[in-house]
Amino acid sequence: MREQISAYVDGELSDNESELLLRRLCQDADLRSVVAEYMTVARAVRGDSYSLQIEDLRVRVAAELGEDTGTSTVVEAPPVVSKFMRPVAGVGIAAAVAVMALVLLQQVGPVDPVVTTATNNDLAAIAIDDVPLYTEPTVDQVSGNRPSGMLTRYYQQHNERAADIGGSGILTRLVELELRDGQLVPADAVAVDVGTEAEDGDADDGTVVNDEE
Amino acid sequence: MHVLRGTLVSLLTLIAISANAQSVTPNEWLERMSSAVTTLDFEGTVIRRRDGQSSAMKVTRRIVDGVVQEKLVSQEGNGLEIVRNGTEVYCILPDKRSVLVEQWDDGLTLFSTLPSSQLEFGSEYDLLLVREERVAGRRAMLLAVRPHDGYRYGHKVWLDRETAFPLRTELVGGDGALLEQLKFADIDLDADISADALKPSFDLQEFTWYPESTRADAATIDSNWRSDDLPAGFRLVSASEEALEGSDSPVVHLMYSDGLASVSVFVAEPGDDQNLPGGLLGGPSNMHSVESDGYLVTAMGEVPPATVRRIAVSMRRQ
Repeated sequence: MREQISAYVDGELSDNESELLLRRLCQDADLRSVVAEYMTVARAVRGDSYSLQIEDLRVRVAAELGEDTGTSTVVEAPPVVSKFMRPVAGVGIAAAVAVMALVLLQQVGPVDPVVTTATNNDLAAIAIDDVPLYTEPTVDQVSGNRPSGMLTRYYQQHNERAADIGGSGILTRLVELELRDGQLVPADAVAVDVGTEAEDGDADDGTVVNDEE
Repeated sequence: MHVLRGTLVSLLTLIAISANAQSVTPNEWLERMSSAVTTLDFEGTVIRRRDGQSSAMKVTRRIVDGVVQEKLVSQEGNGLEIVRNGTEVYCILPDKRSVLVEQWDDGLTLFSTLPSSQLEFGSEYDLLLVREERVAGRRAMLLAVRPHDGYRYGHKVWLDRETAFPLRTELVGGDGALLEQLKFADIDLDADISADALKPSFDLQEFTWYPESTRADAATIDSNWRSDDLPAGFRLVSASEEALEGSDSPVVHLMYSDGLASVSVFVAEPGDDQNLPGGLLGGPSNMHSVESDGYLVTAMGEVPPATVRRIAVSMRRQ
């Protein structure tokens, strides 16, 4: 099956074989899940050039199932957002971290996916790409899902101490990054000995500016 | 005749190699693994899977004079990079043109939890050599760490037959459900890694740098808080008082471990921020809060819900 998918995105599958592949994907949700994982691997190994073919395959499957594909391409692929994400200034930096922490941040619970258009709800359900289709939640949604600040600090402390006794690695560390206060303070040029001085830039007031704002 | 003899020799060699691999005990596999994860240079693509979602990152690592040098690059989204030199870590957020400077003391960056040969298997866990499989195109031996009860999770580790490097790890719930998986899609073990391969992909001159946030002050204490009903195998490994931001008085932090799983217990005086939710944190992490003797007791860790609940309600002030 993987060979077939690979052949399809390489344009090496005949029309008949392509149709057969589509039919199988439309009928078998488990198979779509397998393909989704394969796509993740393939995308990582072979690079972004895969994305167009993947999108094409996804749209074709959606079309076969009678779904509206017209707006699918405007939906961003998406950070999962932690409940711990800070509102306003925190959103910008947390979104960046969340991409890599995509699956790890389940530790702190994802916000329910929000799809930008109603027609994409069904499309998201049958997407063969494993990345769910949804957009970044609004600040209000994030704020409404925030746990107490003390729980956040407990979680940080637990992870640090667990690391001391042998547990926790980079993935937990990324969660910690996510938990960090969005009100980051730029480093003192002397304190960070990296051979360069910190630029004041857009963060000289001690906050991370959200580019989307 | 020569062809036949050559085939026979090859066959006997294969049988000998196979027999040798089987004769290695599970604990010896773990000892080899411990050495491999701290000594081997490698580069590869890691796929992380959790709750049905996957993400990928490229990992490059080498050890120079005992110092770990690593670079991890997210293959999706905003291209987060993490560059590590020893304990000094730079988290580069290219879209925000920001660098977070961190200090990571642990030796193993990538693997969150690996069983150690020091763990006393047979008490709370069984360690089994299951079978040989292929991972990332390499022959791997599957080791299973099976808990004796429902108070901890199981682990599966696929070790490279040649080097004992963990090519795939899984955290498994009591019902056999996959909670977390990390596996290499491709890997080049003992690769010749150049210094250039470990440099950041961006010119960081124009980036804004952020220092590590101040860590909470912690003082080791002889706490008078104890659990009177710990699940078998868990023991107290540390006790400290920590001044946490937002708390008027120090918080007691007790850490329990069974050698593989760990649970933190926080004891705090009630405050404005005491309405902690109990239950699920997500993924394999759980927490439970109760009030005890006028204090708020919160247990959390990468263990089943029953474990944090049992520990939280069992905490008593002596």
